[in-house]
Amino acid sequence: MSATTQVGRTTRLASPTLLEGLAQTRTLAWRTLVQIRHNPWELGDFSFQPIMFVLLFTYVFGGAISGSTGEYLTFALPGIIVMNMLFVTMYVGMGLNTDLTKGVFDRLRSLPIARWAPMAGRITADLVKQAWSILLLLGIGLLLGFRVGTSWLYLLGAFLLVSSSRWPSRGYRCSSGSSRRIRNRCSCSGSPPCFRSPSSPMSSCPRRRCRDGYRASWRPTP
Amino acid sequence: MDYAVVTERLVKRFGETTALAGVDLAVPRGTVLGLLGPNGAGKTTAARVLATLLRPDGGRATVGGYDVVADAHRVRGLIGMTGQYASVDENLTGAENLLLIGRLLGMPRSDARQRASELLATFELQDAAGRATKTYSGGMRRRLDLAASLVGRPEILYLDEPTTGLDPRARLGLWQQVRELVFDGVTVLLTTQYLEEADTLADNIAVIDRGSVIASGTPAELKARTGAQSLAVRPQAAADLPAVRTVVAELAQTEPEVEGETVSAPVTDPTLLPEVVRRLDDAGVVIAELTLRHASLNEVFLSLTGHPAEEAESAADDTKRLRATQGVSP
Repeated sequence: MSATTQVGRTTRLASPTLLEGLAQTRTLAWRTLVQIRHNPWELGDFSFQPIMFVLLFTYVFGGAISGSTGEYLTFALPGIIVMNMLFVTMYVGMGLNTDLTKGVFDRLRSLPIARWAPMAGRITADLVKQAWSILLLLGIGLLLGFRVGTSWLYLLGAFLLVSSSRWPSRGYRCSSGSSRRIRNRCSCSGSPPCFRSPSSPMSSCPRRRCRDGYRASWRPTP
Repeated sequence: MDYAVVTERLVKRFGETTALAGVDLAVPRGTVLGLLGPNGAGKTTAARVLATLLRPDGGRATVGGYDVVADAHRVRGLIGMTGQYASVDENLTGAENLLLIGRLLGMPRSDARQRASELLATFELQDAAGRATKTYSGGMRRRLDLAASLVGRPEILYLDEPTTGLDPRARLGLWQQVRELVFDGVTVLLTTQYLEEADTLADNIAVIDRGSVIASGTPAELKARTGAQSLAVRPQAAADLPAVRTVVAELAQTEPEVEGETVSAPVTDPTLLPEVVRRLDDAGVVIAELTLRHASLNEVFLSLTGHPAEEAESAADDTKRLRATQGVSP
């Protein structure tokens, strides 16, 4: 019987090489991304909501807050992108939680692969998903009249900053509780900063310095 | 003798709970060791330590000659793990799951694909190969689990309660597959709650309770020690109870247990049954129920430890709870 006749494999090295680790990371990133093919709605989860927010903030609140929808879009879009990142974190946490509770991580950890590969694989897959939603938001923004005032390099920098700043929260989110608790926790802790940023009724912000700094950091030069 | 797995005074604690309190095991290469015990006796913890998923707190363990702590990566290169805690990705198809593992083991894409289809054929999963595994039945899931642990052709295989929750037909199928693996030279460490399973598959059995091995030997040796079967007789009329009791006591050569209207006793000699019937018939007793069945794990336990398995289970619950609160294993 072909499946079992050849017994024995060898691992010559005491630990995997960096190159092997990177290949394993790529394979594990594939694992997360190929799921989108089976469940395209997952992509919809982080596509529809941001699109809705862009339209909502720009056309419903924009006029009331800034007086003009066009000017408001310039301010709101980066905020919505950050907000979207926070919501994507929730799906990441839930995915990790499932891996841990269902035993998928145990299977992976019992394989002779680099210890960091499973996490790196997930983060890589995540960055791809995020890149997708950022490009989607930018695309819609451009259609509606958003223009990058500084340069695309700054934009790339902002993307890297936003992506990397979420990493420490990951361990916390995935390590405990059911996925429903993660969802609640993420929504509760994520919503206040999210909604403050793009809708920005800043006059109620306690410190003038914070308020101005906050605005300036996102407003592109005209 | 050449041992594939050896543990010496293996200790593992979860906070206050001692899951393994100095376990000594030795599995000769190419044989099956059945690790038998109730929930939470430490079976799974032992398997997880040997699979390098948990670090032991004391003692040492070697797998294929490599230390599970110092040479963990080489150990991982030799083993396959399947069961309770090692699972497949539910969102991937059966074929993708196997492909994933093949790729992670460093196989070229075409080899991994070929290996995946070989295994899917062996485990009769070709028809479901393209379906997400969350749509699989329990039996199919277990078969895929087992297939996933075989992708790298492991020398040593851990089966952690492989048939818990399976229907009898699926269980027989899985047993047959395990036998074929052993025939091909794979060493198997099997944890189970079922005496019958250990009896059918294992060359040696270690009975484990509260983190210690309390008895070990071949299935035949253990049976001889514990009384392999249990005889139960219930007379039609309660007035016949004393007579039944006398007959059973005499033939089983132990003091039988009387529970309600049923008299039961452990027996080792299967030829006893006709004799029981003859004697009861002679005594004019009408029998309502007469059974000769395999001793349950509980009975083996009782005779080995003097306490029923349930007590051990509550300790197990503590361990499980602890693991749940800790979340991730280290």
